[in-house]
Amino acid sequence: MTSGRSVLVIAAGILGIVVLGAVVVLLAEGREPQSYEPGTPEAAMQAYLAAWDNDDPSAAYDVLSNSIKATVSREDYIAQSGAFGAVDSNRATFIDRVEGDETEVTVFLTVEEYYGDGLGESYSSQRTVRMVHEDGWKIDEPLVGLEPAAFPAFPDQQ
Amino acid sequence: MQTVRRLYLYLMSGISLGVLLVGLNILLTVVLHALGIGRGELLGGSESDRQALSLAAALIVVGLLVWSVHWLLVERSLRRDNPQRDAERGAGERALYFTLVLAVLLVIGVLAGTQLVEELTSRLFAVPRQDEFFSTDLGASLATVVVTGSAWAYHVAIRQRDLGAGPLTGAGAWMPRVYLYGAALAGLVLTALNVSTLLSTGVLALSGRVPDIDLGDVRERQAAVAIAGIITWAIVWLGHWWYATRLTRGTGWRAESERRARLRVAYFVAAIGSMALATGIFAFMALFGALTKALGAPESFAPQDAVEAIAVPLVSLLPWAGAWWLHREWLFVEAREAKDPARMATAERLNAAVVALIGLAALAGGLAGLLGLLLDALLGGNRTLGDFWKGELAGYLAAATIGIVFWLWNWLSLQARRGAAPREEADSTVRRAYLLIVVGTTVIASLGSLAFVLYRLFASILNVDIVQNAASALSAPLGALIVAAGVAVYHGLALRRDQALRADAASAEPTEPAAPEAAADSAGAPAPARRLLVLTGPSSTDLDATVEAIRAALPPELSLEDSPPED
Repeated sequence: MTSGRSVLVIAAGILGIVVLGAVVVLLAEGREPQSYEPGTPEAAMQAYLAAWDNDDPSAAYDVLSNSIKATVSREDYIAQSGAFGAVDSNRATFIDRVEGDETEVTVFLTVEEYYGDGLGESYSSQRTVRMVHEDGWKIDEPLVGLEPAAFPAFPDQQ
Repeated sequence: MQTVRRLYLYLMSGISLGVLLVGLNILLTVVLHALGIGRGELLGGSESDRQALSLAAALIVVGLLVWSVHWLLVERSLRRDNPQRDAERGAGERALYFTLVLAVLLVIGVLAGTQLVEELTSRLFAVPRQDEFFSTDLGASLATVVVTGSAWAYHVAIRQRDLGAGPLTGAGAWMPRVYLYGAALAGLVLTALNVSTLLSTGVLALSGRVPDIDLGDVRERQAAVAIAGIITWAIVWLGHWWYATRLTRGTGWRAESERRARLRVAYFVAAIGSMALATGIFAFMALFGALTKALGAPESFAPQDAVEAIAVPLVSLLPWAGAWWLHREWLFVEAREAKDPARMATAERLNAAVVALIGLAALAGGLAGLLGLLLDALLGGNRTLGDFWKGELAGYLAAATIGIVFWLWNWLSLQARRGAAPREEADSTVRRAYLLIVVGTTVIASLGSLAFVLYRLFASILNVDIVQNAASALSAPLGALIVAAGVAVYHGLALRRDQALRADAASAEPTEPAAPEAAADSAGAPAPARRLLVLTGPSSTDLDATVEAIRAALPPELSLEDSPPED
């Protein structure tokens, strides 16, 4: 087949891939994320991220540890989240694993971010979040979304 | 003088065209907003709109005035009654102007077009098109597509008029080809990239891990953006490729010129090289992912999930490998159709050499790393303590494996050609260039590694070396030095053998044609001086009459032989 005639065949092939890709992604859309046992660090982390997904920083504040809450009031935290421009909406987060004991754990996350404009920008990064057990598992880092926040991390800094 | 005039006219035309198009773009954006496309506000409904209109009017007035004057002067040079018309039509400055203007308009227009298509595909997947930091204005995108598209079409029409007026040679012919094949290559690469993204997104959506929290439907967004990219860049690639290929299938000077164009061959080589490189990178990623799992390397080296680590890169390489195969076939088909054995040989050499270079780079890098690790272990270094080395080993092994496949496959092909026709291959520019590139690069790498090794040694002797483990500090550069030197010597010897063959052939050459003449000439008189001339002219020229005229003008001791041209 000469290159001139094959242009139409290639165009048809590309169109087929587009249709197939779209159908696959649309059909797979309904897959549910893993459901974690209530009271586990994973469930607490999922609840924290879900609060951001629902644009509810007040609910996210509830998942912070007492030591972090002591550095920032609920109102300031909500105001802070507004100043951060909420959380990046092009982000999927995976909970890889949890390491630690019954009082303190480290949650290992993979964060996949996507800033696509047809040139293929996407990247994954790993990060960890420290959690402590108080009345349930709480995040023991000054975070807004998954970003380190600007409020004092420790009470003695106030 | 004409060159300076042209430079001025085309530079001013280009700048003022830009000013004019920006003004038109702003004006059309405001109008589209007024019509409810994009932001959807009434015309003049806000101060920013009135400001935009003022700016647009100013830019249009200034741009139109300056562009019209300069472009009219350019057009006047192309009037039929101008004896310098052909010189103007084929001028390098004019060719450069068209090349740049068409390229800039295409890029801006396609990016805006991609945003428009993305709006449609985002609706298909029901995802917001962008986040709050990157909100787009569809009115502005549509205006950009219309304005740049119109200007692009106008310049294409002018270029077609130039081409239709008669043959173009030199810069007037080849420079706009840089645009044609450059656009086709950019379109090809970005189409393959987006198809690759779509396929990997499909695999992840189907069988990858489901995100615990997905802020903004990342998979759907990826698919929407990839599909928009595929549609626009495939149009760019296939449109330009179809046009260029249609030209080669035609008749007349344009078809002949296009068929023989070196830039067309350069496009094939660049396409084969870039597609092979991307295929190699994705194959490396898949093998690396598999090896990290097999060797138990730390998780930081590759994704934990096997689908992400192995299946996604494997699927991602498919469009690149497909495009590689396609361009390889097209290169060979066109060379075969030319019915020129030399062209076919060059096509085969180019294809093999470009992929062999990629393979050799990966192989040498992988081997250098492996040797470095081995030396570290043997010399008592600390790089192989802990688990980190397993990830390094996986990377070097994967690179060496992919590299050896790419290199051996193509280097053996080059060597087989040399075995079949040693003299012809030794004379080949492509083979010589390949060998010189390898020798040059590896000699530089050897010297760099040697300098680093010596630096460490001297620093150690002078007791100023602050590294904790000398063996570990030296193992990596030593590995690189040994491999680079080995590759340089191997290819240097091949280069030397080729040079020796060329030298032998050159020294034998004068005796071969002289031999029959010497046998025939028993008196031992010296062979007559000869010079080969080629007479070329338009097809309407009576070459026979011209030859006769030249022959008649020769002094009696000179003679002129005439033979029909080779097909």
